[in-house]
Amino acid sequence: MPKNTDIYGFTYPCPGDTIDPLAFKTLAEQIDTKMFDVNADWTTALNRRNYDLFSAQQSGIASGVDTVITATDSQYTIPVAGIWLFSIQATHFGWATINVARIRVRQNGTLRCAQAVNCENNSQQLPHARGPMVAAAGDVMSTAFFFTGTGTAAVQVQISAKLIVRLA
Amino acid sequence: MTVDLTDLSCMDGENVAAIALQMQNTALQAEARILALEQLLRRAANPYTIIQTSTANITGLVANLTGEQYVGPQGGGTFTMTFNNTPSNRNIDETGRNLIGELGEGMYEIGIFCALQPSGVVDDNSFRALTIGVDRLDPTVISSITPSSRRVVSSLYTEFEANAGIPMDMTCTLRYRLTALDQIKFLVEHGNTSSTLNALAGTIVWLTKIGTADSVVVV
Repeated sequence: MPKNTDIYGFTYPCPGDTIDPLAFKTLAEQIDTKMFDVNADWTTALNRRNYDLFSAQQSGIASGVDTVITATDSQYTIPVAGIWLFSIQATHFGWATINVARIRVRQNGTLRCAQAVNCENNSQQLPHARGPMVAAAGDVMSTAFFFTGTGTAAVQVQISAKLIVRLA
Repeated sequence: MTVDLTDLSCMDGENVAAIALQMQNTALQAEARILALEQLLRRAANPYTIIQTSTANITGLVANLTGEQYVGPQGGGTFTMTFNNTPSNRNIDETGRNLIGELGEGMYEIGIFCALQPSGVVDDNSFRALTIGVDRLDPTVISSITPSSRRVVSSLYTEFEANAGIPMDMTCTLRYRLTALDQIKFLVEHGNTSSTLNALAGTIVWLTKIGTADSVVVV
């Protein structure tokens, strides 16, 4: 009876087995398949997934309301499972007065990280949050903006996402 | 005899009868070489990373404290290991100073997100300071009781209370070449003298290895 190696299960014949061309083909193809599998890690290391985008503008954000940003390119759907590191900066403008600005980073609607900045005297401080997510393929990264002041705000978010660990 | 590229052995003309043994050798040799290669690539593709998340508030953070006030797992809060692909099960800021010894010297990114909220009266515009500090053990001090260390680097993020009815969400990161003698600290200071602060549940601390010490490569 043929046996298999312990780790990858490569098949080899034992004394008494009939050794035909198929035995060579099987072993060669098993090694070949494993090399392709290893190559996937090589490709990941060399071509690490990165996403960097500036969203369209979203206007009419009311004071005191945590508002999910839905403008074009403001949300990111995770393409492959892994640990993703996000950096989000929110550029805000259009308000009459402002006291505080906050950007929250959410995974499927759940808060993951955030930053709030004091904007008293109407200083345009830009909140910038950074943090990791353990994400599955298809998870949606979105942001929510909050400010207090007068008038309505407009926001653009700058999103940087990097896959740091592949979960496959 | 062996083939040149992979050093796999193959049969000579006089021992073609030993085909079964040769195929076993080929399978085992291929497995050993691929396993070594796979482990190296997995390490490069998936650098050591630890993420810890608090599940309860860290309370009683006092104002203008002389000394260090921890806000990571070392602060006594309840933290869960959200992700860990390293051979260590230590907290990122464990005082044993052995985490980097286990993970290997190199370039690391360390980060913290936490939301700070007064437990009572809010002092408008009082400061909040979130610090990631790295203390390095001084190997010249011979004492197992009070080992000496010094701060070799820190990253500080400062904000001022906006008194807008929301916690001050804060993020701080540090990239530095860490050694086996280093201890990571997540620290908070503030000037809200009218009440203590709470670091709300959901605080995240993370560490990820960017490159090795001998060849600093961003992977």
